[in-house]
Amino acid sequence: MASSTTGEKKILTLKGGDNEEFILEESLVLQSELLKNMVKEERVSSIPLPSIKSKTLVKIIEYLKKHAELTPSNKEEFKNFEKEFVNVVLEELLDITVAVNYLKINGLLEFCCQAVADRIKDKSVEAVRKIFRIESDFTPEEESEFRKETPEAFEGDLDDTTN
Amino acid sequence: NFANPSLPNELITDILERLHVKSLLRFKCVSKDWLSIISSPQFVNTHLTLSANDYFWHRLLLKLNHNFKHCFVSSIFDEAVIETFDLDFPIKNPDTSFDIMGSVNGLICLLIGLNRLVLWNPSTRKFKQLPDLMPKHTDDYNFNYGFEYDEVHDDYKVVGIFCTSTHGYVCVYSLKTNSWRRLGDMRGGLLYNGSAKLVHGKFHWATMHAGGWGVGSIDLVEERADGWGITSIDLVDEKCRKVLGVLGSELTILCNYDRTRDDMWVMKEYGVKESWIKLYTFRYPNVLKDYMISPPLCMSNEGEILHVVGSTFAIYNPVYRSFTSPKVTNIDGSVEAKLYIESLVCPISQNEPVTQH
Repeated sequence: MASSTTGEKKILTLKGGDNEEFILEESLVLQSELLKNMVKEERVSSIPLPSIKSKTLVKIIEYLKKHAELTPSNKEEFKNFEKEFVNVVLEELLDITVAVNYLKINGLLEFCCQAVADRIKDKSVEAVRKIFRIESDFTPEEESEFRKETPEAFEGDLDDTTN
Repeated sequence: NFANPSLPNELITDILERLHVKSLLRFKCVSKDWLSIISSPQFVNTHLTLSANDYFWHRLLLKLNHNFKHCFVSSIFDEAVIETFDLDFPIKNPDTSFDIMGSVNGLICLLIGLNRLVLWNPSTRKFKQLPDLMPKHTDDYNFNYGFEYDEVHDDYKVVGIFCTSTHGYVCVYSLKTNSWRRLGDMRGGLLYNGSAKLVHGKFHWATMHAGGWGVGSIDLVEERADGWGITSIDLVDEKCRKVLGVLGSELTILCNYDRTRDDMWVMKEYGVKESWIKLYTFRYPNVLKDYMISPPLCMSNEGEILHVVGSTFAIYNPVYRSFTSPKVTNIDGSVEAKLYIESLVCPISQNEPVTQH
């Protein structure tokens, strides 16, 4: 590590989208492939992350801290933490997932993707479009073709909510 | 000014790969982008790999007298009462018989009547009828089919084995070329029932001929026929009825003695005749006297081995060395079962018209 010869821990500042600053140990951000490369190659001490909301960044830093403390003996506790971590409104979960994807935190990315999948699996098409902010580019005729082709996929109690 | 950033396609893909087929079929109509992600061969393959590695996605296809049902494999090992669900069968004709000849990557090969073969994906309901075999085999031939995926050629193949008492031959169907090819002739004999089984890249089937009984095989990739006899003392016993099976990567044989008991044998070392060992014996209770136990269907993470017998399951527990039989809802009669995984693999190539019901 560049400046730390006295055994002192190196400090790094992350700047969220609304300029809020988060000071944390450099070792924590090494879990992010993106930040790791920035730190190693450019030896920066402050990293602006304008596309990530501070609220999201708070959550992710919380995860990085917990994950760094993970040992075989607190595995159960960590699992519970993970469960609680994704237990947020869907919009917030998507924000986190997008940020984790951008930061390339691999283990957490898989976990977030699974959490999103679990949350949308029973959603209606309309709800999914709202959640992902997608405008349909199919004509109503084309859409009814899908319904005709695999009617069973549209049967059952589908969830119209977006949270 | 913090609009939810739009998700890059690679991230959408990462999320969609974790969904069940039913959700994916529905989400195809979210947008053209989503349709093209879900339809891409790369996506179908990754989804298949994720499903294949996770028990949660494995199901049991149950063939009843005139219809199909399915149940979740995870429920069989974990729950005391197993719920079964209806499955729509592609061809509705209660007068014809149908048999399950194989299951791979979510595709099922069905034999309808004596001649008609169909590839069917029960998760997407897509199916395809295979072209007729030329020349059509006649009544004096007995036959056997097997169905597998040839990884080397990225192709799905059906083998047909046809035998009279004096001679026999093998045909191979390729989904890529959508045609049958006849391979060299082979020794005749009686074919034991049950579909041909794939282990170590080869199809296997049990035969009986003048010199005793044995296992014939054909190399799936090289399309080369081979065969060896089985000479473990107990197994040569002519009195028992033998059914070949596969458990993991090992060949198995069930030897049935007058419908009172079945001995389950496993070939521990592939191709080594001396390595056949008897794993366990299933004794038929009075209520199941009229049925036959199926070859092993799968093994749980705890090493329990699943069979179907009559309209119930028989689960062998290697620790207690005994069988348990969970309650199964809504099935009766003699059920046949086959393991399959949920997948989007389509039996129809893109330039073919889609058959669907």
